[in-house]
Amino acid sequence: MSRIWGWIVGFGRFWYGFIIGDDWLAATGVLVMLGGAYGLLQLDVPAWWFGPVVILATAAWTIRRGLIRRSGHD
Amino acid sequence: MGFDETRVCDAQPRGTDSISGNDGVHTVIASLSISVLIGTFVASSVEVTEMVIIVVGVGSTRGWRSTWFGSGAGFIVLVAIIAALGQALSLIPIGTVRIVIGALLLTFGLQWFRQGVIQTAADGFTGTTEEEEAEAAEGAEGAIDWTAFVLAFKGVLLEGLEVAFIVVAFGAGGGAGGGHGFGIGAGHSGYESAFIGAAAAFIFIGALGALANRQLQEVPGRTLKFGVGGLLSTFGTFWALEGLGVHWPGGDLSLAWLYALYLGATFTLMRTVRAGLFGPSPAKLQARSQQ
Repeated sequence: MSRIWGWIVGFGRFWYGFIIGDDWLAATGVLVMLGGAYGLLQLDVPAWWFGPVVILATAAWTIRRGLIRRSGHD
Repeated sequence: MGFDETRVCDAQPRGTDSISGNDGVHTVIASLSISVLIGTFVASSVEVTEMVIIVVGVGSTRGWRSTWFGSGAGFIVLVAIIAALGQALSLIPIGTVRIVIGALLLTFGLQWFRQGVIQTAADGFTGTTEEEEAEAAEGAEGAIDWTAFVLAFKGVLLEGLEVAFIVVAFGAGGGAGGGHGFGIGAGHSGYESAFIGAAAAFIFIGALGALANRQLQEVPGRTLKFGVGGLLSTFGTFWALEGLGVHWPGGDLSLAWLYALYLGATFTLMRTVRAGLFGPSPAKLQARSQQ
């Protein structure tokens, strides 16, 4: 039983690390991209540009957070 | 979808089928539709190229053992789906599959993006951090690297499904439009041609991928990780939005400018971080941690 539980916990940890990693902001950025693009599509507005804009903004923000976190740890 | 039925048999004089004495092979070849075969080869090549890029990229950066396991598992699931559904493959909501797989690739690609920029800004493209050494040691111990497994699995499954859709679409069109009677297989020979075209794409692009892998072995690991992180983000953005129904200008060619944009942004961000314009500079952080 404990072996199965260990497997379930390991499985959950893997997916947590894969999706959230050490900053939840990346996953949130992806959700914002999907939600925003869906909204633009509903309004019949071209949405292809929205993805790269949100992803680059998310990348810049998460890098800044990573640097600040590192400086805090030191 | 209407296709030209330019068949190999049309190019041959009548009555030459028995010349070789191998009627079975000759009949199959004679029934192939060249237009379907070439069309499927070209269309499949685009999807297979995407698959090979992901597999080679992940294998080169995370190790081949787990990447092969992931690719093999993806292929087995793909074959099982095709065997179970056959021509009813179109029932699969490919848009939803693209959104899920694209979003997962993008989330992971963004994590590599962040780590890559911070680490590379700190000590260049060829250095290694404790984190990276631990990752390499983990792979060397022989345990499965589930990250490599999942990335390869998803790449093979999604692109394999897209190739299967192409085979069904071209195969059905090829048989239906020709005016030749094929019974149940109104499209039977179309499917054979489409299958051979897709198989040829796998062999051809796979061989190019094997050659590219040799060249990639010369590239430093972190540089490679940087490039693959950009690739995962590119494919992730493209697939996730395509799954929602977004039309990319230029179709699959958008992958090229999207990748260039992400790489360009990465270098810009790295310089900004290095200059300390983005909060504490990594060089200062490194110096502080060494005190």
